[in-house]
Amino acid sequence: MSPALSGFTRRAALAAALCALGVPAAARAQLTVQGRVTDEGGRPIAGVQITVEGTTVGTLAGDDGAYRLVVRDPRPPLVLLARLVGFRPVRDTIAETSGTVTHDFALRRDVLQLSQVVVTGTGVATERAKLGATLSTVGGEEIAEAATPQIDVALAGKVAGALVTPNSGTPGGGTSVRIRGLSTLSRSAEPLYVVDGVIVDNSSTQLVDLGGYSSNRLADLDPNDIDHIEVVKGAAAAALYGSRANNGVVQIFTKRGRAGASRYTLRQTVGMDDVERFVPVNRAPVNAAGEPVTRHDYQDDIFQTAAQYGTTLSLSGGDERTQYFLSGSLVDQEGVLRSTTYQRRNARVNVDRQLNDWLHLGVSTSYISSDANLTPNGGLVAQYGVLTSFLFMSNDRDLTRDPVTGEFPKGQALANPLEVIANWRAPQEVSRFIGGVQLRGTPGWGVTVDYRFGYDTYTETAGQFVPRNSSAAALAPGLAISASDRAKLLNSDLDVSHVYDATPAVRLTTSLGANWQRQQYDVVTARAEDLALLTPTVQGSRQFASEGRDDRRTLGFYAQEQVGVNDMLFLTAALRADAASAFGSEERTQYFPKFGASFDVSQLGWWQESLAGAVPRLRLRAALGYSGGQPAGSFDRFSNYVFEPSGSNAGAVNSTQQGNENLRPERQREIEVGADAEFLGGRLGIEATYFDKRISDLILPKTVRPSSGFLSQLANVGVLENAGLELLVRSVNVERAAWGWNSSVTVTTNDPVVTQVSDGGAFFIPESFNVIRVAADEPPGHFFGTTYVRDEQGRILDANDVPIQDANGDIVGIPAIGPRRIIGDPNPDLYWSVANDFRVGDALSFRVQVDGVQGLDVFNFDRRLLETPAFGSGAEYGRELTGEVPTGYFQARRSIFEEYIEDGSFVKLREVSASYTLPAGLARAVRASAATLTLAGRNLKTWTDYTGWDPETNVGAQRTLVRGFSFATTPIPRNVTLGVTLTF
Amino acid sequence: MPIDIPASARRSWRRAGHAASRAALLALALGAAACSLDVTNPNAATEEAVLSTPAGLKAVTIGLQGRVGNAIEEAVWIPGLVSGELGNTNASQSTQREFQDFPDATANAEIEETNPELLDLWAKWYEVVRSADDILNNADAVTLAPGTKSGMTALARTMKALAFGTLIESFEQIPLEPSQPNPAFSPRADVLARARELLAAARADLDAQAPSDEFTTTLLSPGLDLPSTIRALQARYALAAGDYEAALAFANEVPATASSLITYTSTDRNPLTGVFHELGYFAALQAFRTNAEAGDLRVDRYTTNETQSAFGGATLVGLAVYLDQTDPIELFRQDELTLIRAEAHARADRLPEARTALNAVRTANGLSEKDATDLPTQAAVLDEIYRQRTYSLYLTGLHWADERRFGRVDTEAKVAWLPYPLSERSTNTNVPENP
Repeated sequence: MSPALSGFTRRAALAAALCALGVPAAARAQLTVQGRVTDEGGRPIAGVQITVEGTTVGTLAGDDGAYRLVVRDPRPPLVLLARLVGFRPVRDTIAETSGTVTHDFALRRDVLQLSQVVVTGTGVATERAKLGATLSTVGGEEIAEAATPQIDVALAGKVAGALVTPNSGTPGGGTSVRIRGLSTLSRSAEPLYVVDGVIVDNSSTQLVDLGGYSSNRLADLDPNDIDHIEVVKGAAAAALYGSRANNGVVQIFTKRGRAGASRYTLRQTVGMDDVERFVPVNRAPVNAAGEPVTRHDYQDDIFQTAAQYGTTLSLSGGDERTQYFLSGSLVDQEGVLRSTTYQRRNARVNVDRQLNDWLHLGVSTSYISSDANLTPNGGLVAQYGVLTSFLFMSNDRDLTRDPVTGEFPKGQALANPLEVIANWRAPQEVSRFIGGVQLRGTPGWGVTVDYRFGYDTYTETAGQFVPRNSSAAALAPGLAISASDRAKLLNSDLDVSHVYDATPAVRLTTSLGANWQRQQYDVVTARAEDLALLTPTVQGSRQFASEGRDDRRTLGFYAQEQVGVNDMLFLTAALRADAASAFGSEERTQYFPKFGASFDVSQLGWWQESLAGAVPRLRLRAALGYSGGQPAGSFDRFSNYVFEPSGSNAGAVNSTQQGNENLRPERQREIEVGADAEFLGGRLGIEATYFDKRISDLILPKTVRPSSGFLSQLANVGVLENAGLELLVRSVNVERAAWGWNSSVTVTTNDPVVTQVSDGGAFFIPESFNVIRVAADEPPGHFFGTTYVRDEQGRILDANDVPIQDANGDIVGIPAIGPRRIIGDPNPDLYWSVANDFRVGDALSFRVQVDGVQGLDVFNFDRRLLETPAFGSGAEYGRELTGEVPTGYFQARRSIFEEYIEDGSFVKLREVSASYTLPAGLARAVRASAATLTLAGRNLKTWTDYTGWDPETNVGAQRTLVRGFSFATTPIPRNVTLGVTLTF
Repeated sequence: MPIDIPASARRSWRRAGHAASRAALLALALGAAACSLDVTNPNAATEEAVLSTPAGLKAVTIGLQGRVGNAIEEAVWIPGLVSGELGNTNASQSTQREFQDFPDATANAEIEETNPELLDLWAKWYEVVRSADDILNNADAVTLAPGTKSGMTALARTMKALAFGTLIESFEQIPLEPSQPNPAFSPRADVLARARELLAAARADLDAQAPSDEFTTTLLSPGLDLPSTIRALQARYALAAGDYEAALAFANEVPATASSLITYTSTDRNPLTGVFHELGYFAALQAFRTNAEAGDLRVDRYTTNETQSAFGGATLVGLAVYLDQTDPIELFRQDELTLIRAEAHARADRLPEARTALNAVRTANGLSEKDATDLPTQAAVLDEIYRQRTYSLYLTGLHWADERRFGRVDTEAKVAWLPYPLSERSTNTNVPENP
């Protein structure tokens, strides 16, 4: 082998999914190594990657753990490296140089996965143990077992530091992910998602107003395609993602093909969704006038037990040079709210090709098409729809279709919810392509070159149809909307890294990179009112259309140096420079440094001698990093001129929002320190991290002197701080042939405070009913509203300062309305998750995951409407009708918002699953090589003091500051799914 | 390469390798070529594009008139509430009702610095000033036909004068150089002088170069008579400054049939239609009807006899103007000019001429003439002029100024001057104490 080839980096071998050279050699020596890979219990492990260290020669172990590797011209010492996610890698030296050798590997579990190779945010593939910052990894199995069609939903509870909130039970997504709490006030707080090197869109564009509900585009991806996910929480992401890293980065890796015979996997699931609990309704037999009435619970007519089906077929295989993974899947879901449906079709083609002995090509493509029929609910802007209409009416009305006229009765204040279900339509469609190309070259001299090109494009269309003469009086002329969003995202990244062993003890790794990113959107909305009869398209006598385009570009460069000393101490320093079109011309280029240190104390000699028995591994780490958040609007820096007509002449005037050529990204400084320790011979691992974030230069509107002809300007004026503790405990409790038991616990604390706001004051969030506010020295997005008037003992007083409750605790008075003040905080203090995996023999396994979110308030606006006397469908209001509380009590109470702030803490039985692998004989009966049955439940039980439908839902959908606001949002369904997986 | 590989395979790999390298280089090159970070805003024109082009400045000329059409809203109803022309129909108008001159003193409230409509009045007229300055500061640098340019600068100066003249009737002092950082506030006399200078300069623009057809047919709002507006405003501000002979001369220059209108359409709507009728925030004080002379045509021209809901102890009746959102608003009324003539004569003690002008207004509005026995003294004539102005200039925003000029503000208006908006105070250290 030439000297150039001998310089092949270890890194290339580590990072390559599979890089095999298997061309038959004619005259040279050839060594064949074969054997089995097993775990500590002696059970075979499939998919273990076995490579010759320092080369790209490698193979994967098959299902029975067997492998066979052919090495031409082996140069001693020949070191074979066996590695798999979740296990510690093993390096064994093979003495022979020719012939056939049998060598077995026994892998031990790596509870903290410190040996895992990660690529996100590091510039070059690196073992987790070398990083100063924490980076979490979730395996594809864990995602698939979660039994949900949405990847982000499946992440719930699986990543320390990440809070996953499904904002709505509407099928088709609508999920928020917050990593280490909020990092912004004005921008999206969702992390950046990267799939196979392609930066993908996860926007939550609300093309039509469905009462705050909107899907997030991550919902398009198929969880069955996931190999694993890396989650970078903060500072560590700075080098690669600079001004887009403030909310963290989630990198998703899809499955790749394996050399060998074609392997088909068919997975079929059948599931059932329903609503865990209804709100109690008014059962009083009389109305406010004392007349007898018949009461109904229309929740029975609004909600349904919904069916869902999922089919996935995948095919993988290839030879030693070319591997492929193909998959197709279909999801067909009904929503728990009648008339809502969701269908998604995914297709994926991933191909890897070893072009020559130093260049590897990886291609990932996927196409997604989805259709949903939704229905409006809630609404902080416009109120209409099913649950909203249910709240805004009395339940003594008969809503069913009149058998004589065939018409639905009109709604009370809004529509008739049953008519909305029957006649209103809100279809949504997505057609999306995501493609990525990766070229990795190892030309020698310790250099690795990695080029990635990513493209994500979709068209999302949304419509809304309210027929003419519907049951909503305010919408009598009808309404038809058709809106589309065409998105194009492109990224082009080049990384070059070089490894240099300065001395046998000191290794220097240098990385340089450049990134180019562009995001374009074009939203067109057409709307018609005064519709023709029986015509659901946008045709009517009043028509409106509008368009908004977006174009954003970012050019970034970085340099990183890592120094490794004795494989024990690792120091990393990096600098990222980002220039983006959204930054003001005066602030065009921004710099983000990061530093990290990792020290494996347990490798010290004295430790090995004295403490290694009790604590076989202890790593201390610290990191300091800066990252950024780009302005929310791509054109916020400009002073724009806007349309201003004069009579029938069209003119232009300066927008009263002044541009700002000094606008720069929001800047986050994050410090984290932590330790990773293993106990009990590596069977118990604890990863603990303290993080302290300070986000300055928050972009907020600021008052501009009004005599200048402007009113406001977006400027870098705010500061937000958050500090917390993140804990991950993993243990292998039992690992025997007969049974096994693993546990995993994550705990995160959160304490965000806004420390500085523009103009020294406080402001209300637009479209929040003037209830959600930001103020200096208070938590972001707290609830601010009217209060009870209380005496010194805390008793609620009436307008004459007399307690409203008598000595027996009965309510005898009408509460007085007190001044507005802070009444609640939707930011949780603590969130945690406990998961246990059990295995019985080789065939049967169980999983139970319980999630908890503690110390948050939810604004139960639903209850306020349910007990408002004008509507009064709620059970509480019945107490006034039956004379239990004085007349007028609820009319007064509805104006006291403090009453409706409830403790939203909850514990959910998030996942329960049982999986059974059929005996091989049975599998063969259906010509399968393996067959697995799975029964999974999701969100089966909620323990909470919250009185509404679900404390997790939010009418603000994925909005950054409108959190914990429950107003006619569809509850998260309880789900049971039965699945069968066949492998051929 | 020591590995023995068939030559054909080597070639094909090399070709593949080369193709891939070329593709990578091409992608990099394309990326670099497309790496421009200067993205323009496709959704709105930028300042640079507007102010440096003829089309942009012409658009601002139209936008300026649009802004005036919107700014008139608060300039009518805020002085209307303060001076007792209007009342609030509903207690829930918590900020609008701060301006109301309540008959019932206990219901009174301070006008807060944070009042959003107070800021609207201030900001909307300064937005007019900004658009006017956009034209005046950039017209020389842009290629415009001479008659188009003269029309645009004359219009800009006129509207800037109207903005200053309107603001100074609600605020005791205002900045005259608002495009400067931290601008100083100028007293009323200076402001009126500046408004008159601007109007004189506007006249000079038109005298030096007659406006082009392009200006009058495509830029000027249909119905807006620019020369008459300039002269009427010259008369209005000369009168306000106490320069009565000049006011008389300017008033005489306006043709008796001239009118000047801000026009509206179903999309660019009359803002007063909104607050008077669609939202129904404000209605007329019934006193306007009950205090009127019998037969006064103006009573039914401006109000109806339908009682409206009211807040604060007043009795309100309906408004009869701006019923339709396309109804135009007059920039001046002929009665104003006639009454300026009457007042100029009266102030100079030429009472017969004053009475002649007064009677022209009275007879035009269905009332009988008054002679020297009815109005024997200068004071009696001025009283009658005030009374006729009250009726003829109803809902022009001028009544509050008249209350001050005729010494009645203490008894008839809520306050003499408005406070300065907090947003201005927090961003400008030169804001005077609130009066």
